[in-house]
Amino acid sequence: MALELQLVVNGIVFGSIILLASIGLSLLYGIGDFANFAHGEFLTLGAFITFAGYVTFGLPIYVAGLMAFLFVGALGVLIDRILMTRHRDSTPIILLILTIGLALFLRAVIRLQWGDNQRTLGMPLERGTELLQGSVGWIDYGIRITSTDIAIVFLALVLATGTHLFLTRTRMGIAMRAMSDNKSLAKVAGIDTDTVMTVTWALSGALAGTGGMLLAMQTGVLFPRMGFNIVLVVFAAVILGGIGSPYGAMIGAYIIGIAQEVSVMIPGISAEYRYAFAFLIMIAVLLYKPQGLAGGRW
Amino acid sequence: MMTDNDPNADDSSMNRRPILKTVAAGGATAVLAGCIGGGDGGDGGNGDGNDGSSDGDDGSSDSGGGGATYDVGLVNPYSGDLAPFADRNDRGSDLALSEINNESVAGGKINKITADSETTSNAGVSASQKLVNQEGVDVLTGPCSSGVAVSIAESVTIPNEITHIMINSTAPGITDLEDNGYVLRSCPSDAFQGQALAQVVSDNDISSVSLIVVNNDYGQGLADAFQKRYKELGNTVETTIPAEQGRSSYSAQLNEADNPNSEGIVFIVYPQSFQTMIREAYQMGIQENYEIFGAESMVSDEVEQNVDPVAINGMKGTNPSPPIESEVYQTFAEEFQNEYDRQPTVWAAYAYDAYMMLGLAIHSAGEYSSDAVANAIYEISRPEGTEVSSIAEGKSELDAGNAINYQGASGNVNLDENGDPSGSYQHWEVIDGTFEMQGFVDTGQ
Repeated sequence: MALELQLVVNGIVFGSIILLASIGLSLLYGIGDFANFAHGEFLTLGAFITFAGYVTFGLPIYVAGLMAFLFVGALGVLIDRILMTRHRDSTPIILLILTIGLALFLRAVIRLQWGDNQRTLGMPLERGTELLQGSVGWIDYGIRITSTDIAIVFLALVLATGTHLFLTRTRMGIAMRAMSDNKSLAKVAGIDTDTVMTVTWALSGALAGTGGMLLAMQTGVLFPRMGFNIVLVVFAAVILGGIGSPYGAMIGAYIIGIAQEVSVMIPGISAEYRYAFAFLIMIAVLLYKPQGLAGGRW
Repeated sequence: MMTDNDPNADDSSMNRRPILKTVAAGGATAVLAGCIGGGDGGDGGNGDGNDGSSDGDDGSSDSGGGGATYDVGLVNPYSGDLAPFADRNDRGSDLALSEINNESVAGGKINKITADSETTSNAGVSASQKLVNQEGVDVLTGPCSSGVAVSIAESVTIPNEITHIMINSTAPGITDLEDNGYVLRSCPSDAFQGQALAQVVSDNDISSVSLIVVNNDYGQGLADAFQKRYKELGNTVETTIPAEQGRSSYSAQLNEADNPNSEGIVFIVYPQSFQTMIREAYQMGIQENYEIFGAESMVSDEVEQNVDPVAINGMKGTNPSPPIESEVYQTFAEEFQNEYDRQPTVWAAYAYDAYMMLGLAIHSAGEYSSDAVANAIYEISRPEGTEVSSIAEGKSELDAGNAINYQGASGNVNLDENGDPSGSYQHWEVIDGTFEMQGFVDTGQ
């Protein structure tokens, strides 16, 4: 076992990926009052659209990423207009089943289009650059970072900042926050809640699409379950941050990301349990601070 | 929330697929592992389906020698999940039988009586009961699935002291059956793959390794076998790190494997996880500091096509393989091609060897009975004897009073005290991004 600081860096990279997914999930929950179980498939779809752009059409990776951003965002709009608009007043259990069905449907579509086999982005391999080397006592602070790592963190932070500006500086963003605070009051105040919902879906989808691109860049392989495999961790981050709070979700994503990487440093906890560690944190939060870190605020 | 991961429910079968694909791709048919998968669920009922070739009662007539007829049962999955294996077993055994009955062993011929196992335990057990109780066979061969095989062994062949030669059942657990030597098999146990891998790692002068192992029966079984043999060879396993399939990152596992005491890292994982792992390993600089090894599950088109050669060049490992370069195998393949107009699978070779050994054992014992065969079949496969690979050769050596060592189409088939042959494995090295077979691993000490 070595490289303690490296684990923190790995955690930040992974946290950046779940960050994008958790903001969207949290927004949908805060504003629409339902948990979108199809969010994992948004990630998968983002990854596969990146694949289509980068591998099939030979576009630069970030252009392919932009395609994922736009396409999954548009898909969010489509889903809202066709499906969810009929279920604005449905009970939570119906919405739950609805999004699970949607998840299965989307995954089936992905299988139809790209098959069940795994695909590879085939991005050039890069040996990490050693930034630091050495140790203080038992702590080894050696770090290796690849340019992909930096790109992932950078892109995630840019989009998170963008979302923050959108929520605080635009009419639509403010309307979204108002609706999340109190739906009826927002409606009475003349906010077109239907449009707000559609925009929320678009934003949520676009962020998840980009998250999928980052996920594909980091793992290098794509398969129809890739998004679903991490969606539970995303839920853990959202719950930790406080359900419905995008800012809480941002903090939650990094805490979960770092905590599960660093958990392997604890003697007796093998790498196998790092996901379990994320859920342990989630359980602790639910027990002692069920409102999450944000405590019901945004 | 989130107690049920329902969207996942449709996917439970998926995990198996990558390995199946590997197998197909790498030609590593033996990994199919046995038909282990096998359903022993339904109540198949009668199981006296297909006993096509039972002309057992004509004992006296058409014989060259003495004219005795030795009834041998074959419980074969003519229907059910593993139906494709039935034809392979029939073709392989029929090829052996035509040679045996041409020459005649101990002055008689072997008569194969078949019954359908339906790939279920219930049907398999009743089929073998019928063969033993009604047809009166002294030796039973088959079935396919390890699960069905164990049911038959425990409820029919062991209690009745019937010699039971399994053809396709590779589960390591069969080794430990308390069978008083009545149960043996012509296909190698999955456990031997681990031993072959340990040999290869040790031969490369790597004396301490970290293991990264897919967290299921396959991975654990192989890792246990590896670990045991590797330690016997005087080396140490620093850590064994389980890895779930389908994770987006394995950096934590790799960090744990990044152990200053290890000289090498052995991957026993499926191709999908491996691609993610090896990419991260490269980014972490692991290839610079460690020798990398892999089990046969790695050998696949997927890995060749999708992994950048620089990440895997120089990696070494093992892969099960019939001894394709041996004369015995080539003769077998040629005869098989002539007879059936197709190339044999390794499974047909196992079936062929099962019957060849049986024929030689009968001749060696000079009589046909369960005990006689059970004793003789170990003797005719021992490495001490003169190597023979045909019935004619075997007969002349045996008649001259010499011990023989049957060399089979599927390998040297030296049965150990548990009735397991060691199988044969090639070792490979990745050169320019492709898996190049480098010849056979000598697992015999």
